[in-house]
Amino acid sequence: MLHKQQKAFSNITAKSIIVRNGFFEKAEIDNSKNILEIDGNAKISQIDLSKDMIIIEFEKFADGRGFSLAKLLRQNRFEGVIRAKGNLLVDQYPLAIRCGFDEIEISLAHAQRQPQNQWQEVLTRTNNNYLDRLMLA
Amino acid sequence: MYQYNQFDKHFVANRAKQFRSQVMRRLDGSLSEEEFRPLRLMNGLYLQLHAYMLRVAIPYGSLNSKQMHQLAYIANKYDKDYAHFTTRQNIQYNWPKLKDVPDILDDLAKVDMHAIQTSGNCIRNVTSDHFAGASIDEIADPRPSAELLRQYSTDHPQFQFLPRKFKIAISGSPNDRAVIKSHDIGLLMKYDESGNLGYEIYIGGGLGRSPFVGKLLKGFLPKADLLPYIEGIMVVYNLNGRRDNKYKARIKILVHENGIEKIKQEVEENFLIQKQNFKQPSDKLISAINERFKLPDFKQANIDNYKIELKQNAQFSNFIKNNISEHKNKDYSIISVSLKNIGETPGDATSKQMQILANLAKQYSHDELRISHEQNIILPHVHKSDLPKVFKELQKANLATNNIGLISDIIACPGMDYCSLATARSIPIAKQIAKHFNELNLEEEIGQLKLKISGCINACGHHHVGHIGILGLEKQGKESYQITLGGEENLSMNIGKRAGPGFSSDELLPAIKRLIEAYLSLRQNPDESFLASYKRLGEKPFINALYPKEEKANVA
Repeated sequence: MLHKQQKAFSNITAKSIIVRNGFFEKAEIDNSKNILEIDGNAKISQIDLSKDMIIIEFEKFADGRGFSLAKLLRQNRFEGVIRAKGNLLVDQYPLAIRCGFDEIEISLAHAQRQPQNQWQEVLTRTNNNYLDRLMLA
Repeated sequence: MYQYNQFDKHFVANRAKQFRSQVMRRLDGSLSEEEFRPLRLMNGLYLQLHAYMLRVAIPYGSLNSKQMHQLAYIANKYDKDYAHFTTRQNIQYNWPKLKDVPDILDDLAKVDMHAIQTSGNCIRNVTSDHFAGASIDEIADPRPSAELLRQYSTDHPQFQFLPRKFKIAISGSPNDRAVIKSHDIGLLMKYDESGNLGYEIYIGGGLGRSPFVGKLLKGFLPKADLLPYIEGIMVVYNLNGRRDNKYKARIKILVHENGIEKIKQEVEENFLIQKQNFKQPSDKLISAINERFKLPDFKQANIDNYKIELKQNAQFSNFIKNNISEHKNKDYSIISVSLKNIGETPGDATSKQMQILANLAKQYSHDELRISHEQNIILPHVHKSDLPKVFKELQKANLATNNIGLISDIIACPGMDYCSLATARSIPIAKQIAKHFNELNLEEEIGQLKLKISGCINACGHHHVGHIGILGLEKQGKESYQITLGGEENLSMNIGKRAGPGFSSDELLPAIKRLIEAYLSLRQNPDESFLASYKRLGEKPFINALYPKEEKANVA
């Protein structure tokens, strides 16, 4: 009911920034891509995995459902781009990457308060974590 | 005893560095207070009534003498020369300054300790049996599993922003001392019919404002499936736990609202996904963990001096009677050191006391100490020939209170003296009750009795599972104390039943006195405990004692 499947991509405005590999990029609109937008209420069994990109909206940074959804998408062999949309904290960026996100869309105001160098700094935290060590050692 | 390897050391040091950066980003405005809050919480830092409070993890309650010395040093250097051991095998510093906290974390990291995930909506410090690896009744040492869960849950990328906090406890003995059924997940180690080691799993237990006894989720899970199964539970909770109401966000409510069968089905479905995706930890990693929990090299020595002291020294034999538990090795004992010295705050220890206990552990307990959920400190491996010496040292340090399991061995939360959530005082109430029965010399006469006090409905003092529970509330600007009866921990966990209207702080002690007097006159023989009498007779005679008819008549 709360699914925003097929929600138009065009409502991403220039007011947002994409964080990709630790760098800020202006959010571009790419109409050629086949994109699905969902939020924390999405049921994984109902998601079309043939999309190029799935955007998972975080209504609040403290609502961690998106982390499990991204992981489930990867576990279900989704190979497209997964984007988190919402003002996640810099400190959540490495967690998001470890769950399978490729990029994060944040507001311009958020990007101004938490500038690019902070996002780059935390990237190293994706290394040397317990879970990888447990599962791969 | 688990020793950190290079990976652990590196991780903990890094985490302290990260927190330093978070504090700086808070100060320069990059992080708002709302954004900083979950970050400081998952590093153990609370904002309390009067000051910040730092909660440091003592994973599954085990520590060595060097670590205990460092805890004492921190209490002395950054706090008021004492600290508080909690009901979740943590230690709390009640008066640190924010600017000192990164330094405290660095000092903790030096002895392989940290405050990671002692708060916040994440998987908290995994708790276990404080007699683990020592008790005679143990099926298997639960600590290697607890350590595996610690590693698994630390900085788990999916589960740092759960609907609410999440607590796991594990027991390796059928005499459950970890109160597993009051946890979000409770694990009981057991063997199946073919002799394979695994776990019985309970889910959705909890105290707090809506107490629930944990429900059986799985009768037997093979040991090797632990992590994918826990992951299955966590995914189901993270995606489905309620986020609309803080008070309904724990997994106990999810289980209650959906029913255990539905949750079981969803967990099993997700478990299958996890099993396919989960690469199991290597045998090398598992055996490296097991290796660190090997039993110490027990010494062999004559114990005649112990037997003689037992006969000749009544104080010693009283101490042995109440504070000693049976060890795997017949020439060894487990000593419970009571932090419930009459008239003092339950669970508090001064730096000096911590140092003395650290030295005793080093010399007489194979360098091991444990913290119990009952807020006492355990010397788990003491040779019987050393007991007389250890007892003398404890006496000198005012640590030989022989009240383990008695009415004055009270669990109490910090209450209104420290906590911003509290609605009533609990520490002064605990002190008053302990002092009263101690002065009348009645503790021994009353026998085994678990009295637990919480200063608000969040129930940190575990009043729901006290044989006698006391819950401090606020009614029209005054403290009002509700009494619950018949609560029980361990595997037959039972939520105590509210006896009736609350008592003012002045009426409370007289009410407890009437209750105890009634028990003493009603019991079949001195061996029948309060709880046994209550179960045999039902609540009626006890409620009559709490609310005598004359008083009711007077009120009317």
